[in-house]
Amino acid sequence: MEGEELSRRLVGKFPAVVVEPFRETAGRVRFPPEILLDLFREMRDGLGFDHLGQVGAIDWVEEREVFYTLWSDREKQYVFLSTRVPASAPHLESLTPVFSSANWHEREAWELVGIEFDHHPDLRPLLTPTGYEFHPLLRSFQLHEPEGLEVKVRDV
Amino acid sequence: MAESEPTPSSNPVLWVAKPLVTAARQFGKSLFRPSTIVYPFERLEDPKFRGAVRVAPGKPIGVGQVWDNYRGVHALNIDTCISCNLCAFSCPDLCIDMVTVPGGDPRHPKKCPQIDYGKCSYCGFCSDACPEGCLTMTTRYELSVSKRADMIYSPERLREVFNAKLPMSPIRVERPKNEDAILLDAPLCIGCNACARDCPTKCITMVDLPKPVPKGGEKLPKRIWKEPVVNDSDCVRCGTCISVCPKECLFWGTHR
Amino acid sequence: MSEMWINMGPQHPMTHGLWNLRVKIDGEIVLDVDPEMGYLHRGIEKISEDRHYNEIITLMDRTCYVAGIAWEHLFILAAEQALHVEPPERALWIRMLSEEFQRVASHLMWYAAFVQDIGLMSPFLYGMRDRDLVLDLFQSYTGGRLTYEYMRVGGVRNDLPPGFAEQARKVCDWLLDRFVEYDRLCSGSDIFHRRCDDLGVVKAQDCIRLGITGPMLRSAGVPRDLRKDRPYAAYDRVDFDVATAETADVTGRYVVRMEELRQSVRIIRQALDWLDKNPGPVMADNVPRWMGAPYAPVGREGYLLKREYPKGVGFSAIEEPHGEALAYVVNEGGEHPYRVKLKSPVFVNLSAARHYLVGYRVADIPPIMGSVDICVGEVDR
Ligand code: SF4
Ligand code: SF4
Ligand code: SF4
Repeated sequence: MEGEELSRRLVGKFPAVVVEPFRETAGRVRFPPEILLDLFREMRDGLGFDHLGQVGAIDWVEEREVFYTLWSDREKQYVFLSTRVPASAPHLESLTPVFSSANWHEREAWELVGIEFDHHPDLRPLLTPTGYEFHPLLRSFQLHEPEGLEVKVRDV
Repeated sequence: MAESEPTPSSNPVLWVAKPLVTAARQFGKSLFRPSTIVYPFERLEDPKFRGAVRVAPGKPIGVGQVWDNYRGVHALNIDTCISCNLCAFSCPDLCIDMVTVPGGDPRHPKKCPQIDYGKCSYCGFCSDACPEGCLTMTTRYELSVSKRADMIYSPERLREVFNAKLPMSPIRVERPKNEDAILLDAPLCIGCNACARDCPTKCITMVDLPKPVPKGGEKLPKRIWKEPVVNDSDCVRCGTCISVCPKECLFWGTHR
Repeated sequence: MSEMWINMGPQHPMTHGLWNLRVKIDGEIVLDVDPEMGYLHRGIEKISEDRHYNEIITLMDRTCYVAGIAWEHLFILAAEQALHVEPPERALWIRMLSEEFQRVASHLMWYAAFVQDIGLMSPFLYGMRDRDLVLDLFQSYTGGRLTYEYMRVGGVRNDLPPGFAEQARKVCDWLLDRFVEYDRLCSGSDIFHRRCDDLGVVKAQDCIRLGITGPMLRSAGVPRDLRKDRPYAAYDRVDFDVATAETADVTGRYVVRMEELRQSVRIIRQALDWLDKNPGPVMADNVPRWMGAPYAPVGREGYLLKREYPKGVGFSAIEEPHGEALAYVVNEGGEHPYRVKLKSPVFVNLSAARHYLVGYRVADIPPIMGSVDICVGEVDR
């Protein structure tokens, strides 16, 4: 599926999405956070992108970007989707109702970049210890031992 | 449980016997062909034992022949080290400190790398970066010590490794062809000679500038009428000149 | 109360690497599982934001300690896109050769660990010994046995040494002989089948729903292999088949991996032939300045040289020995990447643990988890 076809099939249903060419994939789909679940349902059932590759997040200081990679066995292609949420209220609907494999990816994005996934079944820290209250992949998290950093120990 | 074995056999003796035959064959083979050598009495880096390990008759494969490329403890030839700092800059783990060694002139002490093997990841970036080929990686791999301080190899200790004449990796990495060069912001230069004096490769020469004749009322800048010229083919891009320049007039750039 | 939670790990003979599998059991039957990760979290993605591109390669080796060069390859592919560098052709073939050797080494390591999980001791030693031959080959051209630091943005560090192809061919011949022995010891034995058949079944549909990739997916009959479907390096120019099995159980995964070993040897032979015939440079000419070693970011204190690159993003996907690995590199023009995101196949395969462990017995957990081929370094990063 070429980028144009993808854009033709998506934009009809979701006028708010923008499809742009991206690195040997079917394209990068930028979408507003509100249509997340509908869009992914359409991607999975309508367009055949049924395999969730990854969910990741980037901190752009004022905004945070959440990106998704889907793979279609039929098209033998990846599609890259991304949306942005404001850093002041980093809330996004959880993808787990559509792709259950998003569970751990979202846990990781939550603990590392601080995206709050609403209605996630089990938003616990995955890689960092219990009680660790930093989001290490934020730009504000300094790698070189910030003054007075006190790592809380886990309480079990 | 499963009833769908591709090799069905109802005789439990066969279940055991078949793999045992293979195991016995392996055992028989290994009687005549050792798969290991008797470390520490025999060592792979010792040419005597190269090719001693054979896993198939007449086919010495694997070990030995190309052992030299191994990245182990560094060897440092202090005599040819030019104190350019490139090894310390290229180390991703910041485990190289430049420490003073005897032999330099008192105003500009000679500095050579000291490596903390507690941090070293044996990536080889430092020996790739060394322009003189005096910091190389050897085949020595035994490092266990009981004190942390013993993990720090001073230049003298690294020289001992060098003097042990261990095999060293013959691989030399070429410098990239489109490197930046040292350029001069000429109006800022005061001709102080600091860069030429400190350049480890002595590739900077100070050339005379014609002293301009002041036109009416104009004041000439106060400076020595000389200017550094860098010989690009000898320059190792160590940046010493940039860091000693009092006027910050040398910088990295591309020749037009 | 006959139900209880037990911790298998973080130190447990079943767990390779440090992780904890919490298991809820009723007698012998597994009712629920909850993998607990993070014991090996080193923050590789964060450290990458503070390093130059070539220095990140040292981290990639440590991301997965049994498949280091595959992760180097993954990162380098993405970084080259982000930095707009084209590697020369010979470098592509050397990378492919390295990745296939790594697949052989990784699968042999898996074989050794897995047979130990199902209770066989001597095949463990056979697997490890033959893996050492591959590591010797790695050492001969990269200089490392596990942490290779071999690939660079724009190519590879050095060419293959003289005599390498001859050695490599001998190892290939030897390995093909050995695979026959392995099969005699394992899949040729009824005990193995009685132990492993119908264990840890995940059907194709569930695999796709759960995002499972790699040998686990192929053992369910889905011929999905990024080397075929989305060829990178020079995979579109070699002949090989995608190994699949139909049973979707532990035996199926064994069969798939064994077949992949043979296919890897096939690719290696073709790559060696090509490399013999086509000498050439292994490093691109257009690497950004300061990218190739050596370099000097010098200046007086507080006056460090700023290295700047044209902006770009890179996205790469490779078929790592464990499955589909993805990398996303964002280059915002600075000297360090702005963000490096790595997706590990084991991370996803492990997140589905509930679906292939529940309902089996406690004693089945080691074979099933062994067949998943877990590398904790990759999961925790
Ligand atoms: S081998 Fe790598 S880590 Fe060790 S001193 Fe050299 S550059 Fe540093
Ligand atoms: S890079 Fe080589 S010449 Fe320069 S300081 Fe280090 S060891 Fe000496
Ligand atoms: S960078 Fe400067 S000091 Fe270093 S070799 Fe080149 S001209 Fe000499």
